[in-house]
Amino acid sequence: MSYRLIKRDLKRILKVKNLWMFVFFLISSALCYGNAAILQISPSWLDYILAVFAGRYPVEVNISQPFSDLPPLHWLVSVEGILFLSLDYPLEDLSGEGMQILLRAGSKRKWYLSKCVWNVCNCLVYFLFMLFSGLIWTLFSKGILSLKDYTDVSNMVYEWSIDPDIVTIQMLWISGILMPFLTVAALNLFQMSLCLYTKPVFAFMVTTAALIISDYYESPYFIGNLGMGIRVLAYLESGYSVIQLMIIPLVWVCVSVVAGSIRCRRMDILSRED
Amino acid sequence: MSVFIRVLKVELWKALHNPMFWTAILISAGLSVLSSFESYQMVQELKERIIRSPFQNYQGASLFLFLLCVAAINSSSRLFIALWAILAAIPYGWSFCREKKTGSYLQEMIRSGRTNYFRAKYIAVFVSGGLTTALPFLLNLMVNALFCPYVLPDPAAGTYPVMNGWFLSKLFYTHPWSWALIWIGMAFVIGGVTAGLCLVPGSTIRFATLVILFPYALFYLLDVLLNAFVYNRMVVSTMFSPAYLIMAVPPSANPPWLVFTEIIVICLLGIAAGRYWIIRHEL
Repeated sequence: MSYRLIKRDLKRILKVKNLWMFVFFLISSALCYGNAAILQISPSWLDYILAVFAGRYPVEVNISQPFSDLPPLHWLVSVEGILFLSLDYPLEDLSGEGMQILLRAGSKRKWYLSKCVWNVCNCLVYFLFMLFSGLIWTLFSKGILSLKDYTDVSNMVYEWSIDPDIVTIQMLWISGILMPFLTVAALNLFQMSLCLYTKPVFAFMVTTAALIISDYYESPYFIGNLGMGIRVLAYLESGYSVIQLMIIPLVWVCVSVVAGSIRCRRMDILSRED
Repeated sequence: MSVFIRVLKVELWKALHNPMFWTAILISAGLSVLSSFESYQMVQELKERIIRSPFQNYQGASLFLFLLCVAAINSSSRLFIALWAILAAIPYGWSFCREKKTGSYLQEMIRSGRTNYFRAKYIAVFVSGGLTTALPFLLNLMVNALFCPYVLPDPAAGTYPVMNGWFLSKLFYTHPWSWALIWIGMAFVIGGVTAGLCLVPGSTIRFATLVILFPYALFYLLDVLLNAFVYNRMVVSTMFSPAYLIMAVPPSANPPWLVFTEIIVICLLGIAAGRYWIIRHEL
């Protein structure tokens, strides 16, 4: 039954609605294309990918220029895109056909764990869309089709902090792709668990608040910081190991799955449709 | 009593007597008070420094510098700016979607007529959204006035972010109280028209939460598009993005014509979509 539950959920990932993610990445990659136009060079595939979750360094607050420290919009929308698009399915699946499946599954916990798997796979597809949109833009701008080479475009996006003597390609992959993926997956699971405790709109607001506060308070313990490539690269350069950084989103994942599972077992499913 | 007044009374009662309205008010008021608390700590530090200095210039601690709509300098005000579009839609933006799903809108529509139902619904959504965005500004102004000194802003001081080209900038430096109250009124209208955008998806979205988040998602997507295709390619000195419409002092200039144009466009979009879904669309 568990396999069939997961299979059914995974089919939902390929819904037409999720194609919006791809359109979004096509638009957001245009920002990288704009940066390349300033430098008059063609960005590589890796440049396009690194630009999406780059984020920014914390900016010092200046009362005369209060908006000098606005949250990085591009990063915020990239992270929130998946949170927004995966908000409805688990609760929507508590009505109609989904309710019948839940009754036949025989265990609310199995149903919930299947949704967790769906959530992580959804994030994976989100990141695959990102890779694919980067590929399209690279072909369009006649850049280098490589995931190992980067140009000055990435250096500009990373605020000229990539020192080739210190920063390796592995570090760029970890900071620009792996850590944002783990962060997005952890936040997504957290949001789904929270949806079982409160209304989905408040769950979305809490995750958005977590991202904004992370931008404001610079520390790896605020999870949003780990979704910003620039900050993760700075942590790696200052001596944090990848394992140390990975522990934080993994703790969020474990707490979310356990809390959601407990709540799911006890909740009255008939009143949780919307 | 005309049918419209009766249905309006019903809609307003439903809008202002539901837990979502009070939750949104509590969240926005809480953020406003938290912002005042964070400002209080900054102002106390500034006051101590000013007392020790020989110039005794209180411009840097002015009431009108620490307003929620002027300076997004602390985490709570930043949260409010980020979440205002959701907060405006929470009180009653979901109502049409929910009523359509349950079928209860048919009862009201049959008794009052489609046009009356639409007008009353839009006004109720508008009022509830407007209250959620205007009240925090009013509360912030009143709480800040308890500890911030009233100083007539001096443009020569160089501490105020309001510059030539920003919304009623002249009034800010001559009659700041009037300016603040006018902006609270503007926040009411902006919140109202933003909540009205919840009628745009109509019955295409079945999940009420996505309807509530629709204005927020629309504004931020527009912002991304503007960044990708406008701000990134040319120097633009005016703030076109509706995501920061609620701020009296956004990152770039917001002349009155631009603010009013954006409000009218958003309002027309909500009304046109609402008319289509409620009046013209097949029941």
